Order: sequence, then structure tokens, then C-alpha cells
Amino acid sequence: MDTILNQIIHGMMLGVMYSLVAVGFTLFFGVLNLVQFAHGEIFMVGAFLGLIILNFLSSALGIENPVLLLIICFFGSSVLTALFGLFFGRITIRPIKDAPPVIALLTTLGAGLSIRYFVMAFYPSGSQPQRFPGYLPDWQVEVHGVLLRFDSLFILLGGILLILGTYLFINKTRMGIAMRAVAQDRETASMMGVNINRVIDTTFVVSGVLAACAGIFNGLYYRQVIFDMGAIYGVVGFSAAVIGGLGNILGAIVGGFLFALLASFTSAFIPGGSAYRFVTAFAFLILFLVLMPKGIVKASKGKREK
Amino acid sequence: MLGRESLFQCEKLTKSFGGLKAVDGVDLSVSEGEILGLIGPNGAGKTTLFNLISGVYPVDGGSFSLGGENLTGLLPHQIKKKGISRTFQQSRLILNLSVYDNLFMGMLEGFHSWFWDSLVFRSRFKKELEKAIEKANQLLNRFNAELVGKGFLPVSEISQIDRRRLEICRALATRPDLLLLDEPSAGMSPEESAELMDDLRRVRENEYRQLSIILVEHDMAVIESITQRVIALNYGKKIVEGTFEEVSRNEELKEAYLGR
Amino acid sequence: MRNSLLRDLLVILSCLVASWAVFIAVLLVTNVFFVSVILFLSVAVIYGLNRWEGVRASIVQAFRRRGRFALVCMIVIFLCLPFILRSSPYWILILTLAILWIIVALGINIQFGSAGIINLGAAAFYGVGAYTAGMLSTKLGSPPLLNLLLGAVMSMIVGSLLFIPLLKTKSHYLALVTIAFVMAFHNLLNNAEWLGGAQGIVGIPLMSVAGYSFTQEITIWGVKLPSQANFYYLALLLGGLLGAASWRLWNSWVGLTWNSLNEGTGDELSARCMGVAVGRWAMIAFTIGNFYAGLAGAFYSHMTSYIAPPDITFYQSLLFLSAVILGGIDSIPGVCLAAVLLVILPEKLRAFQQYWVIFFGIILVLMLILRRKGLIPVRIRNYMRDILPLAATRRTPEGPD
Repeated sequence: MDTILNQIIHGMMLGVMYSLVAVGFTLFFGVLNLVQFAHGEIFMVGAFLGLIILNFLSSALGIENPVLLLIICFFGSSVLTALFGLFFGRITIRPIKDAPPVIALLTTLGAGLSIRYFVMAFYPSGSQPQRFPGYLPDWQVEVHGVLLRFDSLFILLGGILLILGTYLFINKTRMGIAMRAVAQDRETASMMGVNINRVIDTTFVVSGVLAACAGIFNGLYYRQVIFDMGAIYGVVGFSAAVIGGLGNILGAIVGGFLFALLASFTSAFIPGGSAYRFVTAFAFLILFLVLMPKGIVKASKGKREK
Repeated sequence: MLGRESLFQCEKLTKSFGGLKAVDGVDLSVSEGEILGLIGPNGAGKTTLFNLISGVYPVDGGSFSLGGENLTGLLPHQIKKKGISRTFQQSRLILNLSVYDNLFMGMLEGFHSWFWDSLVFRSRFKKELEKAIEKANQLLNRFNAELVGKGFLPVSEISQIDRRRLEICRALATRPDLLLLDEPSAGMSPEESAELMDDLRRVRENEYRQLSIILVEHDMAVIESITQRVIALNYGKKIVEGTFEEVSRNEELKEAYLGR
Repeated sequence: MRNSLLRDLLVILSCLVASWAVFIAVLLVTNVFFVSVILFLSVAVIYGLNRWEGVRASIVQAFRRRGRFALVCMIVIFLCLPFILRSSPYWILILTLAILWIIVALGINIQFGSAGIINLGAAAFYGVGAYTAGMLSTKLGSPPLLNLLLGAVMSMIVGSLLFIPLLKTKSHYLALVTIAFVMAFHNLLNNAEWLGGAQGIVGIPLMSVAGYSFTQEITIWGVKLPSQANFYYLALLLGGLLGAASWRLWNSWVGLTWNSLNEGTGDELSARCMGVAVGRWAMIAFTIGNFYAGLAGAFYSHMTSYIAPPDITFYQSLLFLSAVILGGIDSIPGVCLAAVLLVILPEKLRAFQQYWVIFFGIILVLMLILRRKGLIPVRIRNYMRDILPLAATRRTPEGPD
């Protein structure tokens, strides 16, 4: 019994990270009808930037206070990753925003590959896992046989705040409304004065921030990052978004948690399960697409026929 | 309407999107060899009706039949086999394929040389190809003799009005009993529309003399000169039916177009 | 008339000899700097000739009018390559690998180039063929030649099983599923002991046909060729057959039907309205493409006698798909050229292996943004003009490509 609950906690936390990436995918698809296959790499870049910032702050500036370190790390990495995403969007997506979606899919695929191996080639001993400093306290509490770790709760809470923030942004701000307008009907939105390029930029910024935070969470929890961490997250994130119904933020979150719980349970309860986690995830995805091609939570209305 | 068999009928066709009834209980019939005009303001449901009849959208209520056979619920390629073909408001020609290739797409169903004849002995394929080119030339010649020489050019290199003609040819190549034309004159200048009117008359020559057509149009000159009977829709409902004369005098229709 | 014939033949011969000389030089010269110089010069020459209208027109016309002759010359050159490279068996091996890649790329071209079906799991189907051949020959002693067929068929079956549930889904879902498939397949291979696990299958018997083992050296007309030439010639034969099949399919109603349901360039909706059974034809394209991939994979097993999970990755799949994108979507000559480049360039640039992937990704992005048509853009289908004298005379005078 306690194992199940512990697995659930672990799964929830993994779910937060998957969801943050999945929401990025779903935003790209919903707003721009774009499959941004390099989003996993943005996640990775966020993690690495976080690492660089932390190392710089602690060794070069000698800062020791973990709270301060983490705040600067999250903030700094989010900003830098958002800028990187922005830059990425400007050079790869803007030129092809009117081409068939297949082209963007392939372009981001290629670009993601370059980014991944660029990090491997140019980051010192890039092909090896990099130690990520553990600044989260090791506190654990046992409640009714369930082990509650500080870092799990921190990530869970952080993730919820971020998602809440995104939700408020999309629904309550002018730019968010503009994004939703473009999601419904790009042509009409632009005729109504919405600046499509700005919307593209904003989408990259928002998803960049989410991905960066997810990357840092990942680093803090597993105490390491590696250049190809984006590969898995990319596929899982996209799958979660698909299962949730592309374009639907709530669906992406649900999808993310589903995948995470699936991964946890497989590792925990099937002997040798963790080795086969891809196989189970994939089988799950196929099953879903067959049974519920429109996603669990209906894909956002107003999607173009095709 | 005397004595001629009713070829195509639809009864109480209904289609809703969300809470909105795009097509609301429409009754329609077309006789053999008749050209029926379908008019109405934007959003009246004309294209939706076409989409229902060609099987693109599933029907929510009502039914339709061709030659007495119920076609409700069939998929687009099945409906094509039964004898209904259509054109689309936005050109759906494949721009980087040749004129001939686009036409051949309409004839694919009638071809018999597939894998064996393409891979191994191509003589049957060659014969079929020659016949197909002949048929294609016949169709093209009907509208614009120049097009015949342009058969192997990509569609992107022919003029807009030629592309319209090509789309109609392509629909004709499928040998339909009923042809649905969706705003063929959209985006054309008055001169081009006049040319188009001639084209539409020429559609029904020779083997297509008994072809029935439902023509959706906004250009009333085209409707007036080509059609024998007109039906007007508004908000998904049929509001008036009759000759162009009768229909154009209808008050409700005028309000629908011009506002109160 | 006589002059024109002679002139055409000379033009063709000089073009072919020049390009192949460059090709062989690129292969054999080891100094990277010189290779780059040669490549740079040849690209410059090609570019210059392209701009110089008179020369360009006469070259293009020569090839069009005497296409058969050009083809025969190319075949002769292909057959002679092992002779020219007989002191570098390594390059003969690489060229054989290039032919295998051409086969896979042609298969992907049918799926994606013609029918618009994105398959980002090509390496998995290649792997299915390879592992089938490996397992059958090591566990059951099945003859290699048969394994080629069985591997291809197994790929087809696996592909159909994957595709059937997805007939109704959209292209980006298919992309995702194929990526997930290759990753899951890789995962499975790494962990399944019965499939060899992380070590893969070793000791796969090398190709042999009716007792003739491919490990022998061949002697043709008194010239001794290394054993790699055996593989090369068989691969050339298979590649030639499959290539001709691809070409003929393209120039037929089959190719046209596939084009009609291609979501990117064609229009699935109007294809349906014209009677095309879209699902069925998509399945046919997908299956035939996987047959090609499986065959190549099985051949690879019997060539290297070893197949392991690192050969089957998403990255590999992307490379196969890129051959189609970079070469020219639906363009058979383009795809062949790109496949060869994708095999040869990394070999030549071994010193920069770390940076090759970065470079490749950037090239892919640039091509997609700037030159979507590819290296050798696909041409208008004219159903092989030489069988249609009528159609040929009705064509308008040659315009620019």
C-alpha cells in the first residue's frame, strides 16, 4: 500500500515535469498549428543554462545561500531560455509559417538535432552526464507510511504555480486572448489587427519558460543532466499533448500525468519494467490513438479541417 | 418538369455544427438533364449542402438519393461511384502536377492497368494512357483548344480561368450523372464570367447532354442565363423555389441579400 | 543530323566521365583539404554551367534525347567501379552500403515523397529486416538469399500492423507514432535477451548464393577483385531492380494515385471525391516502402555478419527521411544522389565526426527553408516520353526546368 502511494508521489512529480513540457507542445500546436519537435531540446537547454548559472554563482561569485541561488537560477534560466526560444522561433519558424505543417515538423526536428549535438560537442565533456548540484534540502517526512520528500513537494508546488500562471496568462491577458484568437482562426485574427509575429514570439517565450523550469526541476531531482535528456521528454511531451488533445492545456496536463504514472507503475510493479518503459509508453500511445483519436479532453474547437 | 424523371432527390436534409443548424430540413430535387441554380447569401448553407451530398460531412437528419438509390451515409469515394461529382470553391487542383495528371486523377477509377502492367509489360498501360490522353484532349478542347497543347505543363503555369475550366473537366472526367459546381465564377472579372457562362453551356454537349447540374453562384447573370430553375437558401432553410424570374421577385430573398 | 548525334554522345560522355572522375577522386583522396577543394571547385563548375544558358541547354537536351545511351553508360560505370577501386576494398564496402541506403531511401520516397506519409521510424523497419535475417540464419540456418525476402516480408507485416490503427489519424500523429515506434523498438532490442540484447546478433553467416560464398575474391578477365565486390554486385542488382520498379511505379497510375492523396502537395479530400480509396492506397505505399527497407536491412546483416541496437535509432530514421527531403521529394534521381552523399560525406569527414550531426541538422533546416525542391527537383510526369510519340509531339517546346 505504501509503495503504491510512494509511486504515486513520484509519478505526480514526474507528471509535473512532463506536463510543463506537454503544455509547451500543445501551445505550439494550438496557437500556431506547429509541431515543435525541438521543444525537448529547449527543455535541455533550460537545464544546462540553469546548471551554468548555478556553477557560476557558486564558484565565481561565491554565493552560498541556496534560496538565493535557486531564485536566480530559475529566473535567469527562464529568461535566457525564453530568449533562446525567441531567437529559435525567429530564424526557423517565421520563414516557414505559411508552409504546410509537415515542413515545420521536419525543420524543428533537424534543428533540435543540431542543438542537441552542439551541446554534446561544445559543453565540456558534453557526452557525459553532468552533475547538477542538489540545493534542495533533504528533508523527508513520513505521513501514514508515505514518504514525502521536500524536493517532490517543491517541484509539485512549483509546477502547479507555473501552470496556474500560464492558464491566467492565456485567459486573462490581452496577449493571451490574441493567442487564442490566432488558435481559432489565424487569418481573421490578423485581419483584426493581431500581430502574428508577436504571437509566435510570445508562444516561444511562454513555452520556453515552462520548459526551462521543468529542466531545472529535472536537474534538481535527479541530480544530473545530460545532453540527450530532451529526446525522451520531447517524445513523451508530445505524446502527452496528443493524448490530451492537441491545443488543449488541461488535456496536456492530464496527458503528462498519465504518462508519468504509467512510467512509475511500470518501473515499480513489472519486473525489469523500467528497462521496457518505452515499449509500454508506446503501446499506451497507440492504444489511445486508436480508441480516442480526438484526445481525452476534446481538442480545442475551431481547429482547421485537415 | 413534365414527365422527366426526377434524378436526384433530397428530403429534409439537416446538418448541425454545435448548436447551429447549417442546413435545416432542405428538400430538393433535380430532374435528368436539368440545371438547378442554388443561391443565397454567405453562410446560407450552400457549400454545406454540397458537402452533405458529396459525402464529405455525415448527415444529421434526412436523406438523399440518386436514381432512386439511397445514398445517405455513404463516403465520398462511394458517392462518386454512384455518379455524383463536384468542384470546390477553392481550387483543389494539384499545382505542381501537369494538366493531364490532374485530369487523369478523375479517370483513375476506370483504369485497369495497375501493378503488373506498370512494372512488367507496359503495353496495356501504354494503350490506356493513349486513350486517356485522347479523352483528356477532348474535354480540354471543349473549353479551350489551347489547353490541349499544354497538357504536360504544370497547372501552376496556366491561367486562373483555365484552371477553373480544368477543374470542371476533371469533374466531368469522372462521368457523373449529377455535377455539383461550387461558385465557379468566384474571383472572376465580368469578362471572365461571361466566358465561363459559355463554358458552362458547352459542358452539356455530346455525351453529357443529359448531365444534371446543381450550380451554386453569387453572380446572378450566370444564374439567370444558365439555369432552368432556382432554389434559394437562407440560414440553412429553403425560402423560395422557381424560375429565376419568380425567385428574383421574392421579398424574403431580397431582404436576405440586401438587409432590411 | 549526324553531327547532332555525335555531339550529344560526346557531351554525355564528357559529363559522365568528368563527374565520375570527381566522385572517385573524392573517395580516394585522403587529405581533407584537397577533398574540400575538389568539392568546392566542382560545385562552382556546376553552378557556372547552370548559369551559362547555351551550355546548359545543350547538356540538358543531349541527356533528354539520348537518355538510353546515358543510362547504358551509367550502368557500365557502375559495373566498372570495383575494378577502379580494387585496391581500396573499404570504399567498395562503403559504396555497397550506399546502395543499401538508396534502397531504403527509395522506399521512404514512396511513402513520403509520393504519398506524403511521414515515416520517422524507417530504421526500425530496416532493423526488422536485419534482425529477421539474423535470427533466421543463426537459429534456423536459413539461407541468406531467402532471408532477404523473409526480412522484407516481415517488415511489411510489422508495418501493416502499425499502420492499420492509424489509417484515420493525421500526419503529425503518424510522425509521432513512428518516432515512438523506433524508440520503443530500440528499447526492446536493447533489453530482450532472446534478440541478443545490447550485443545484438553476431556470427550471422555472410551472404552466399547456392554454395558460392561471398568471402571469395573474384577474378574477372584476369583482374582480381576483393571479396567486397561480390556484395557490391549483388546489391547493385537488387538496387537496380528496385530502382527500376520505383521508377516504373512513379510513371504509372499507381504513382499518380499516391500523389493525389499526398496531404502536402495533393489534396486528400478531392482525391476521395474522385473515387480514390485513400486508406487502401496509403497502406499500399507504406507497405511497399517497408519492403524496401526490410530487404536492405536483411542484406546488411548478411554483409557485416553483425546487427546490434546502435544501428537502429531515431537518428538513423531521420537520415533516411532526409535523403528524400534533401534529394528532392518524389524525385528518384535526387533521392539516390542524396542517399549516396549521406553515406559518403560522414565517411570522408571522419575527423569531424563530432560535428557532423550538427552540420547535418543545419543543412536540413536550411534546405527546408531555402530550397524545398531539393537537389534534383522532381519533374513533371511524362510517362516516359519514348513510349508516347504522339504525346511527345504535342508537347510545348522545352522550357526552363
